[in-house]
Amino acid sequence: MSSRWLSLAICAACAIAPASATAAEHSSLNASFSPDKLAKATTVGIGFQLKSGATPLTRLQLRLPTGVTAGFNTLGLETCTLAGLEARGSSACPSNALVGLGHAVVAVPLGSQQLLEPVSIKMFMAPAANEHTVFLFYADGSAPVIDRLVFQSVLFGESGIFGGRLDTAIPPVAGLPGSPDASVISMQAEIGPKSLRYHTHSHGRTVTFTPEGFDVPARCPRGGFPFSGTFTFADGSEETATTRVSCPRTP
Amino acid sequence: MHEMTTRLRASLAAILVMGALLALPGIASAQFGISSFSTTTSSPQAGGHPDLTASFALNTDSVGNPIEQLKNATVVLPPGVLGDAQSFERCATRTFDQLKCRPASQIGVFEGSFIICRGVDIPLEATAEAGSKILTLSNTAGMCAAAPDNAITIGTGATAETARLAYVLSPTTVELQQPLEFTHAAGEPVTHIAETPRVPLPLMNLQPSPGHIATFGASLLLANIFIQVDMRPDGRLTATITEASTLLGLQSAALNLWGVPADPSHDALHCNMWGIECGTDGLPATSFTTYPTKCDGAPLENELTVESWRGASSRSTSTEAAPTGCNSLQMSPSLSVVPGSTQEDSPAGYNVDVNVPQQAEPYGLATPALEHVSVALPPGTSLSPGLANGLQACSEDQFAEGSCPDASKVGTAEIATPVLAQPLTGGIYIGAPTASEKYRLFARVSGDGVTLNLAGRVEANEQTGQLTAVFDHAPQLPFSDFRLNLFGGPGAALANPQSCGVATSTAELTSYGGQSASPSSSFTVDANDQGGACPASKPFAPNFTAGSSSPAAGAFSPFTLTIARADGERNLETFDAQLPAGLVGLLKSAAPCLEPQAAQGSCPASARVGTATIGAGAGSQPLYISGPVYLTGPYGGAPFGLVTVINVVAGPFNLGTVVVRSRITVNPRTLDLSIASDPLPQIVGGIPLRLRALSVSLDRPRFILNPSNCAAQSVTATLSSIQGPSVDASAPFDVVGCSSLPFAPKLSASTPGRASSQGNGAGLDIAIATAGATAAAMKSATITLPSAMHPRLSTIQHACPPGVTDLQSGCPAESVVGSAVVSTPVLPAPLTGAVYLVAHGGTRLPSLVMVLHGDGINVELDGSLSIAHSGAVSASFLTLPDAPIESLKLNLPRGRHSILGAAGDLCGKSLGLPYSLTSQGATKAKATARVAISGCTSAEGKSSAHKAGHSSKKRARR
Repeated sequence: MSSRWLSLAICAACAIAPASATAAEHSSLNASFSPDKLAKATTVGIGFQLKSGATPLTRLQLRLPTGVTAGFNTLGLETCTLAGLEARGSSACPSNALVGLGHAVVAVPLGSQQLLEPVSIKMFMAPAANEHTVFLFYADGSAPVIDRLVFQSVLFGESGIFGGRLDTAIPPVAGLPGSPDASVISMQAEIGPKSLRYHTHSHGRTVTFTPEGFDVPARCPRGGFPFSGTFTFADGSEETATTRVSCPRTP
Repeated sequence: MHEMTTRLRASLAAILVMGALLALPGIASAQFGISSFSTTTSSPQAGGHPDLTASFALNTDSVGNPIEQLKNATVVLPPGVLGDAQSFERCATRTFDQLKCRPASQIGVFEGSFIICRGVDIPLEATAEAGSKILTLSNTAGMCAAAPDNAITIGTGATAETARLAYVLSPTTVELQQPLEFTHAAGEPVTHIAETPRVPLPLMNLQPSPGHIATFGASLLLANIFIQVDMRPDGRLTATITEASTLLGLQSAALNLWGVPADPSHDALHCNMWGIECGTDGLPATSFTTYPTKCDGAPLENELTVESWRGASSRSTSTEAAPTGCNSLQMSPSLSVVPGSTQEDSPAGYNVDVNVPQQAEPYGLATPALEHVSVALPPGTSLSPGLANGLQACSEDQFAEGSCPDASKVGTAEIATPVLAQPLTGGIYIGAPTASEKYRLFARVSGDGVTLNLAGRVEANEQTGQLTAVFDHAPQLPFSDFRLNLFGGPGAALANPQSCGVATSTAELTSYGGQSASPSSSFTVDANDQGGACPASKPFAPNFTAGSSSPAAGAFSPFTLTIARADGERNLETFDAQLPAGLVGLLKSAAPCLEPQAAQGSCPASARVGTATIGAGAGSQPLYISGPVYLTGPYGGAPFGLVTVINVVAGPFNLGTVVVRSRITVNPRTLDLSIASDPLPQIVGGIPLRLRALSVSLDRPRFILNPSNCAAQSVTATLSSIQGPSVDASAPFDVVGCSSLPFAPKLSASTPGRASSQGNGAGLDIAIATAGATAAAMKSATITLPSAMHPRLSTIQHACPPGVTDLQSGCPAESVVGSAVVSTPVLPAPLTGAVYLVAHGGTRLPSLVMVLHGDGINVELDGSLSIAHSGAVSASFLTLPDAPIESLKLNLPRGRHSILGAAGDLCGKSLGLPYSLTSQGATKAKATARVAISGCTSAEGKSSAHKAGHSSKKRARR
């Protein structure tokens, strides 16, 4: 699904919600593999829904199962810089830097109204920092208001049942002066080869190919592959949500 | 007694021959006139009662005959020389003719020199030989053989001789008592010097002849001497010998007026009319004359005018000793000031009485005459403006002639003086103002043939209005009472104080002798003339009315605002009126009066927008004065002002021009007008206005436009009182027929084809055109953005923060997202200004606020942004002011801080701009305007090549 179609699809669900709109009492996390096969490259789908009334999310630490973080050698063949993305938008990034797509719903307080703005998300590979993999997120909304947000995420190694931690600092998104900042209330993204097409030149021709994605480990832990998300909010509170991807059926 | 008797007998004998003698022609050619005139006093003591003598003699020819027969002789006595005839017995004319006047009526002596035998100068017709007793003359007329002194002179030079006549033998011959000593030739003169013995005659106080204050008479049997005494308008007495008989041949006279006729010193001459039974025994001692009470060292001047029967006249003056000893004089006057009504703040008549008890001791000194009378009325008692209704002024000439118009009469006056039996009465008139004296009082009183003109003035304190009535240089005439009765009623000259309490008048009285006194008089002002108490706090509840002449919505109509207060209430100081929404003045139609003309009240007619009328004065008939109201430029911090110019002409008084400024302020959100006055004048020309009513009518044709909304409204005002509270007042105001007003606005829009979500975003121009003042004004406008356009969060983030009241100075530059221009028939120039994006915190949607300026007026039009569930973004201006506009142009340009963005270029797209416009009368105009896209190449714009217009037929419904 292209980002445009994704936006349109989400837009159908977007609404102008009152500030007191009801939602879940706890934040939730979901994850998926596509395809869902052991020892195969896959696209990791991951999303969250924040609890009701939460203050803006300022940090998201997403922990991935052990083994999942290895094996995406051709994902993100090229990189994109934060400065370029901020200055020129996604057009500043080469298509071979794109590593994932997604969408989110951002709550934008507008006086007595609160807009639920659907935004599309593109994730790009950025130059590594201190040997850590860095992803850039480009969030773009066009209705009811036009907004845009760029932030980065760094992949750190983990031990135990989690093999890596994707640590994302979400900068505040100012709304109207005197109103609370805009806040992400939900997000759904897919990182991996699904929907991605890379290009390369070979013998003077442009060749399109699908990059490799994450590797699904060959063995599935008991209970499935664990995912954990720790949400840090603007008021300093934290909440952790977990989920598991069920073990794929053995073919 | 003997001397008097002898003289009387002589005079009686002489009268027997006078008839023949006096008819003879005169001899010499000397002119009729006064040969001598003298006046004397027995004492110069001021206020004393001396014996006064006035003597005069007439010119005679060479033989002692009067040139012509005296008819009238008038002595004008010096100011302050008086005679109290009324205290003496007045002898009836018939009694006088019978020579039976009693000594009690004698007030002096008239001593005249009468011709017993005329002087003659006749030539001899024939030679008279020495030793002869016979003389032959051309005629013997005038030869008085029987006269006591019948000597004649014959001849001239060394042979001239004197002889006495024995007989008149014939018309041409006379016989001498002794023979001639010399021979005298024909032609030599025979002369006889006229005989004029002085005859003292009792001067009796007679019943006054009609028109005279006193008549004195002296009788010479067949011919009487009458002296008429009069008083001139300036108070000076005159004594006139009237129509002296030609039988008398009066050659000189002396008038002796006694100070105290009963004084024993006059015994020898105090006789009955036969000259016998002289003496003063039994007569009461009463003073007759009074010497002036002014001691300025100047001799007293008497003036004598004589007139012959042939019409010749002559004049002479004489002085007598200046009065002295004024420091011995005394007076103890009192003052009474009583209003006809004691009710506060009401016109009232006033009775003012200055009482000066007169000293009556015959040998005492008279009470000095008052020279300066000044009565300060109580503070708060003021001239009543209502007086001016129909008032005229009396000119100097009219006053002098006694022909002051009735319309100038404001009261009556009365003066009681010991000189006259009855008080002088008359009227008080308003005198014509002069450059130095604005308020003048003319008192003209008369009686017994006397008329006095007293010219006074009223000094009105310019700050307090307190009145002081001043009569300077009053006649040197003693009076016991000087009463002024000023009329009451609605047109009374005076109005009572506006507060209850004791009201005290004070007089400053100064006599000619230098004495002064300050008597006072008090009365109590009450609530109702019945002694009722006034409320502790003076009320202030003025009546307030306001409205348009026509109730038709959207129509031009004069608008009138009236404030009126009742008597007894506090005075109005200022008003601040808020006009109803939608009531506007087409300021564009008048040329504002500029400074300094506005401050001076000298504005051109082109600036006139109305008329103001003030009602001033207590009572049921205030004085109403009107003047123009002009529109001015900025005043007192307000963009416009009014100046009311009232030429205060109250009857004959032009008190000058009153200029009152007012500020016209415009509510920046509602465009509602307020008119706030400067403090209103409370006193003009020393007259407290006691402002009863103020009416301002804005009646310039096609100037005031009624609202086009028919909601029940009101005109409200804050009315402040002098040194008191303010009150809020309200008058209902509404118009009808709003739904019938036309409302057909046209909206058009355009946008640049180049657009983006980032960078310079997108732009949009919107224009609304209306029929202006001939159509209903717009109440609300809701405009929805084309679906391809959305606001940009990056601009929203820079909206003007909540709480900023002055957007221009308090908002960041990034919050300016556009500009607007509004053309209105109300203002000369369009309103222009920036469009701000304004945040209101969590309580309201953000706004697009047009901050417009023009002609000093600041207007803010607030349109809330809203986003529908569909995501459509609208701007709603829901509370547009009820003011006519001709056009409104809103420009939201592209740029770094453009409020709008689009996903990409708009060329080739079809953009619709839905809008809904509602009139003040609830008529709706709803449509979708096609947005014209500019800046596209022909290829780009192909799909939008059709012109901008309305995608659907505009629907107007109510």
